[in-house]
Amino acid sequence: MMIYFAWLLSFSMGFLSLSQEILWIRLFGFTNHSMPQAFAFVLIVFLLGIAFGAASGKKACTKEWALWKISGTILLVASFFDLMSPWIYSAFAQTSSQVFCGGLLIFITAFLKSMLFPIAHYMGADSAGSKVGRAVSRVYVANIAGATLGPIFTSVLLLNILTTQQCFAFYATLAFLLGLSCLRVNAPFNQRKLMGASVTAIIMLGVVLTIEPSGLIKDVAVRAGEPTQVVENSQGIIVIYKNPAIINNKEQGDIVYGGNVYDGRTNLDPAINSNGINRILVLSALHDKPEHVLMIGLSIGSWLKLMTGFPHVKSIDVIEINPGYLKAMQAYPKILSALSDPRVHLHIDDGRRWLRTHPDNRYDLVVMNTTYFWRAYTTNLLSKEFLSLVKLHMNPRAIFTYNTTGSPNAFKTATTLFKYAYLYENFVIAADFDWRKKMHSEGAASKLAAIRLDNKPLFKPGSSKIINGFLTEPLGSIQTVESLMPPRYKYYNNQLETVTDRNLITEYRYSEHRL
Amino acid sequence: MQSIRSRLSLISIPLLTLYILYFISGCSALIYQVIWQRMLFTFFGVDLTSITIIVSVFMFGLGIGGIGGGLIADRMQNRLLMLYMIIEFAIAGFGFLSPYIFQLFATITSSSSEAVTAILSFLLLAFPTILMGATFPILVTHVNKIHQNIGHSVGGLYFANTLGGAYGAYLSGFVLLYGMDLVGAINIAANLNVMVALTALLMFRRQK
Repeated sequence: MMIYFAWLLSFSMGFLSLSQEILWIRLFGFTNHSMPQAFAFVLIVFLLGIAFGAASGKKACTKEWALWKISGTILLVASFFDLMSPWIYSAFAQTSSQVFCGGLLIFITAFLKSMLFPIAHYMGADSAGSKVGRAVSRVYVANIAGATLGPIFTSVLLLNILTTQQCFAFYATLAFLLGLSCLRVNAPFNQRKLMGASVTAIIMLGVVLTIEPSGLIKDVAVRAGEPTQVVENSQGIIVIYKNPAIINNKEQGDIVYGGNVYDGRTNLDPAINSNGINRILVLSALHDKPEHVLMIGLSIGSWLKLMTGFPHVKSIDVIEINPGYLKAMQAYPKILSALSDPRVHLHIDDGRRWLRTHPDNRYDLVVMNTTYFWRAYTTNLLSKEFLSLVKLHMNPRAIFTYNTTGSPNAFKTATTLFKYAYLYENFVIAADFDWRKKMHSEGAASKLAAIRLDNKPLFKPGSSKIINGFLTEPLGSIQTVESLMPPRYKYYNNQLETVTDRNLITEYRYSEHRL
Repeated sequence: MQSIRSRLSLISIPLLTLYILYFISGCSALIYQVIWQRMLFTFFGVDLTSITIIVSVFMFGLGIGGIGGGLIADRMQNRLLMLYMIIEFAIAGFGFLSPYIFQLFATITSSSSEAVTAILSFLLLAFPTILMGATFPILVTHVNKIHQNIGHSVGGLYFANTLGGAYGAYLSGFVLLYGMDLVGAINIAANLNVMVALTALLMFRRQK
């Protein structure tokens, strides 16, 4: 019986530890704008906590000690800590000490639970005699099983039904119940202490469950305005802010943040252009008859809505990895109507995987409003390998445009694959024909003026100055960019390096953001 | 200070060497985990389902390795160091070849369904992760012959291995990828395994 309970304890420790690691990666990663270094930091500190916790736990492994009582007490302390630690962190999230504070809290979270690891082995295997290897492996495997199931349960199920703060509270409750069970093994209970602990836990859990479900996320999110909407699901966290800025008596559109990083605005008016929509509108002048369009990334959908207004468009495939944006769009009916357009086909999928599994699709325009180049996994969208995959899906004389977000290496990569790749603001516009002639041709302005939104011209009468401004933006060549870049960006032959699946340079070597 | 000295004097040199070796094993394991996962995300996609599948496959392999390692450790109690040495060599061999194996995997699964890719990725990662998982019960059984206390044996080895893992995570997240690519990082990890295997071989010969 004791052996089974030791297995359960080992399983639970793995389950709770890895589940909380997932939650901390989510919270700390969100606060630190999904930088790859943030994930590495959580992993390092968590492993340190586990290492020192295991080293401390082994001191308790003597037969004289009441191991169940120790385990139960550790778990009760851990449960209170698990409940409070995200809130303590949120109090420091906007300060320069948030990394230190987060690190300390993550360390203690891991430390407390891993103290149980050697204790569970001691209880489950110390009397195994010559079969010690087998006995150890059973307790160890129970731990691994918990560590495998914990992340699956958290990622696939829990984060889709509870918010981040509720998930923290859920696991604190589990730790509390497990702690009580351990004390029960070591019966009899100290009824008064038990009652006190239970009442305190219930009150604290009640407080967490009754406060605003996304309060924790609002506390750690950047201060970009008044948050009006928070969408949390397993794929990520979207926060929408009311934009207080009013310029020339015009609102500038609400601001959308995905993973705590700027993601776009809801503006559709080219006269306001707070979200740089000129970068998509000029595409209408670059292709004679763009019928089939691919958009990689939907975000709040303002760019999709504009694309539905392009003349000649017959189909638009949109690939978005996070279904949370569909929920966020509900507050913007005008943009949301784009999804009801029969020409629009939305695919919730990873962009690269979708392209790989649809090898026969071909497009005239490919638009990718990529997120910041230094965020985790952006290499998957900026690398030479991915751009080559996109190129395989382009018709002859097709145009491909994507946001470099200021990465000279992302621009350089496009120039190695396309004959004519130039920067339009921070966007690369790339093709195998000289599209610049079309941009500066006489008919270009009329093509932009022909864009209609909900059966009305997008550009109001008298917008020719705005249209001409869009079409006469200076274009940047790779030679100019390379000559302007400081030496630290140069590789060999005094040239910029290209992004590949293997070198991840935008996320690491040339990332401008550090913890 | 006196306390630390007296504690260190209780640890024999072979035991201390073993802890250091297991620290290095943990370090290389975390480099592999971070880099291989990163390579697989490229083929799989970076949505949460893919990430969860890959992490789970990794853990599952460690678990099976744990069971196998426990069974073997009980049967080969006099050759545990030799077993550890063979395992480290095998992990190094897979490590050196892994970039090519992963590329082949990418070609084979280029248009496969998610389920097929998940099964194939398990088969791909099964070999190294089972080996990594097997080292823990094997070394615990070896060290327990000295300690005669499972809690102490497990705690000490787990401490060394996890501390090494933390260092491996630091290297992969904050050092290696700033100066080299994924293949370079994998080669560093594989060389660490070779170093561990050679040292274990020397220890085994001395033990004999």
